[in-house]
Amino acid sequence: MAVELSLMARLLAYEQRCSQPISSHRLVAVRLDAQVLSVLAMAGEDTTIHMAACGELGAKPSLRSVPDPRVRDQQYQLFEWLGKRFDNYFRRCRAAGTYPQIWVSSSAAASHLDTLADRLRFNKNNDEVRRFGELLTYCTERFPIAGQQTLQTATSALNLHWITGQDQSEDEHLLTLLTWLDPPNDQNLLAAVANAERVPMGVKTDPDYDRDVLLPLVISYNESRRAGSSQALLDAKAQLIHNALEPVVIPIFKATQRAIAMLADIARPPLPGLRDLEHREAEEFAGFMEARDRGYHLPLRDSAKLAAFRLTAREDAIQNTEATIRLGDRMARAAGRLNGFVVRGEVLDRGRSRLAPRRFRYEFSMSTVQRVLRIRLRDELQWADDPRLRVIVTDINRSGRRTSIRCEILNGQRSIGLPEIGTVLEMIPSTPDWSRLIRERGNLKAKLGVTPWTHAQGEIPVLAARKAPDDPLAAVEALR
Amino acid sequence: MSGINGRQQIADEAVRSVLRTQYDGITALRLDSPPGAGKTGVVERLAVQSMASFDERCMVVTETNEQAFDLSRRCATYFPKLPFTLMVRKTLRVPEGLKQIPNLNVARSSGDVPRGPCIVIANARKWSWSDVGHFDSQIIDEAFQLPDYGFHQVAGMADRFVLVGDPGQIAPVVTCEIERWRCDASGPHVPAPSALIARHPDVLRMSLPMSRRLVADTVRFVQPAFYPQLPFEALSLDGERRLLTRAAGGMKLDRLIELAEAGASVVQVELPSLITGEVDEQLSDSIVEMISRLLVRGAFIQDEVGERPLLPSMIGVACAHTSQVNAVRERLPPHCGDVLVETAHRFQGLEREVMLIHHPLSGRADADSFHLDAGILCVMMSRHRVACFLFARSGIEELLSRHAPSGDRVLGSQNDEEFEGWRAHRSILERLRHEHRIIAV
Repeated sequence: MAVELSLMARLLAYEQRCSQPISSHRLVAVRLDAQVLSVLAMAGEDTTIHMAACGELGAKPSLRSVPDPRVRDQQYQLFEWLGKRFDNYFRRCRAAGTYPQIWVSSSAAASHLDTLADRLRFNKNNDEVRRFGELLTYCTERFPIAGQQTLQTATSALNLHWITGQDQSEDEHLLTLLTWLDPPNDQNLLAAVANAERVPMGVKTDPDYDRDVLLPLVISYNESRRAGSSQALLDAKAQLIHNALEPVVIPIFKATQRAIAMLADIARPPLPGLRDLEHREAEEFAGFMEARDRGYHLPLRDSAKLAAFRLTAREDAIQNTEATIRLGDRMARAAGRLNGFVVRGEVLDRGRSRLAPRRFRYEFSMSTVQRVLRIRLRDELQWADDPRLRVIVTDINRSGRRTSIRCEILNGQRSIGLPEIGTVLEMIPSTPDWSRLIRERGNLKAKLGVTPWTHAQGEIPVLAARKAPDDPLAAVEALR
Repeated sequence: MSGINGRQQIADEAVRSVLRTQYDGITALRLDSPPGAGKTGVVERLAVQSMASFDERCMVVTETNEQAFDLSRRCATYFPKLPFTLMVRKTLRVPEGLKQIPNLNVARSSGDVPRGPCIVIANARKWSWSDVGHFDSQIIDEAFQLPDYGFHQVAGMADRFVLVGDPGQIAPVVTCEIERWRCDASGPHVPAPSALIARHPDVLRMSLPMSRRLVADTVRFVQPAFYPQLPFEALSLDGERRLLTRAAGGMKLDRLIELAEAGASVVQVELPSLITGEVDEQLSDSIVEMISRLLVRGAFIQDEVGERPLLPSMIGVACAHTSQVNAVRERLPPHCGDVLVETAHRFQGLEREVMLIHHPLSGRADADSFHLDAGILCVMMSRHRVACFLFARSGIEELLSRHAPSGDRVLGSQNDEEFEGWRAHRSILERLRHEHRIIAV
């Protein structure tokens, strides 16, 4: 999104006390079988889950808590429970040839799952916990990849479609974001936002609540446990902890469900390329599950080779996602015009010149008054309305605010032909190429089959020395 | 050896040492070069030495096609008796001028590449997709622009490596999220020479000691701010290269031209404080006005070669954003069409006699990592041979004080790019202020 557009929309939202739409299409997939997951960690214990709420879209959550997640066996039971749900869900998706989709409230929740995944997948004591860690790893490793549909945070998904009048970082609080999106009728918006801010929406409980309510309950439970109290007493105390956590996790779960419902019911058509993004997601998922079957290790740190594969995939995902959205979404196209990635101009003249008996050069000039242009000589552009028309920029002339761009047709002279004089064209730098990643991976596989010494540990190879002339510089200069 | 001949000897001796490493059987060499130190000249000589003296197959890797074109043109022109090969993809348009060079062969398929001793020039991407056999030596030009995962894809193609580059310039462009590798000093996003050293600290490191482009006055600004670990000097003597004018001037901007005439190669124009965002119309007007003043006053360059008038093609304008570039371009009068106005990224590797710079922090309310990036300011301030005029809104010092680096450090990494940028910006500004080179208009 161009800075000008988002700033304008944000100011408008602030002035009107109402969020503003910033897309013409729905940009994320909402799977009907998606799972909503809300977890609470214990304060100071970043690799724990104190309570988890898990459920399908529109359904009530299944809740599971542990009295003290620092007690390993109890914590493992919760992981096993979650792992089983994940495993079943992943199996169903695999059988259907689709992909899993997990929704969490915000990037804080996604980050917590990432930490957990890194920890759990190396668990040597419990196979089910390790399996849960591996499946979670799939979601968290997809998360940073542009256009991915597997691990969705409600805040990011909403922010792709609406802009609020508050600071961008404040949008990470799901309930305040929802308050902007769906303001209460009977209340001042900013007051409602201030109220919403008090409700925990991440993965931690409120520190005051921790100190005053949760901590005494956990201490009491542990004292009873250490004193060898009866199971009935321990269960009762565990239930008290469960009861204390439930009112914290349920609003997060409900807010996430509300966000998904807003996206599912949005009155905008799905992005034309969304199906391609989902198809890519299903391919990646199938590949991951196949690798699990083969027992491939999921390392904590990447080797140079694996890093090259991963970075290539990420760069490809960015290119394809940007191109897909720019091609399909009118707001993104407008942003492209503002930041110069899309060139909109009117055809001024056109012509055909003979190069050889049966070879012609088709050229046309277009004029634009766009202030920002990111084109230069020899750039290749495609017509946004029909990308079969591909041109190369052969000349750029700026005169005041008007820029004239000379283009030669590389592709599409037969299927589309020279554009009519007066036609307004929108040219884009690229269109999505969904087979590129397959080619890239094939090439990397061949190129990185043997790791060169430069990218491996070990000694630097020694080469034989030669006798040098007295003045090697003079020897080279003599060759001029 | 303080005279020009002595300095030239030092510069030549450094090149000799680099060439000698190839005789000594050094497997890999990282050659750090300050701006304008003649690294492309070293690349040419290394390639020629490999093919002509050792009968080897030598591959030269550039980052972009444009760099490959430029290097091919230089090699083939300066060594007209030797054959060179430029390798490009089948559909790429090659500039007509290159096709006319008789000793330059344009290869579009692997079959076009010589099997025997040769010098083949191509960009890293093309190399990574090519299958043209094994090479004896690999020379990477502008190696700090090549991310390590790009180097990895071509590293298996040769036995010997020379990575030549400027460590102070803009880091490789990697657009995707790289949090996963941030703590890895040899991560895939890291510039190839840095990653190689992180993996193999014993790799030989050398540096070029003289900048042929920058004058001594500029080096005093640029070296401590951007190259604290890479000492270098200017090849030209103090006052040897100057900007002079034939007519006097009485306008506000003329004061800066007079400072430059007096030998101040870096001066800053300061407009009243204003938050403008990316595009600052008034600042763009001032930049264009300065170009006009230089041309109207008959500015000329006096240097080692002699005297010659300052032409629009000898002037460059560098901006941080494309929108700023366009704001300046649309104001240029028709007779200034040859003034090169570009972003810092596209100015890498280029030089002009006089540079005018839209300061990256000018008119901003915040100082984020992009605008603090030391590489951007370094590129901007190291393109000129004679004079550099910085254009900024006042208040940058206060901005830097308000936005001290966040200190977001990564476990296991000694780099703090935000702090380095912040420090470099402060260093430049303090020096300019201390030497009374900031003129308010």
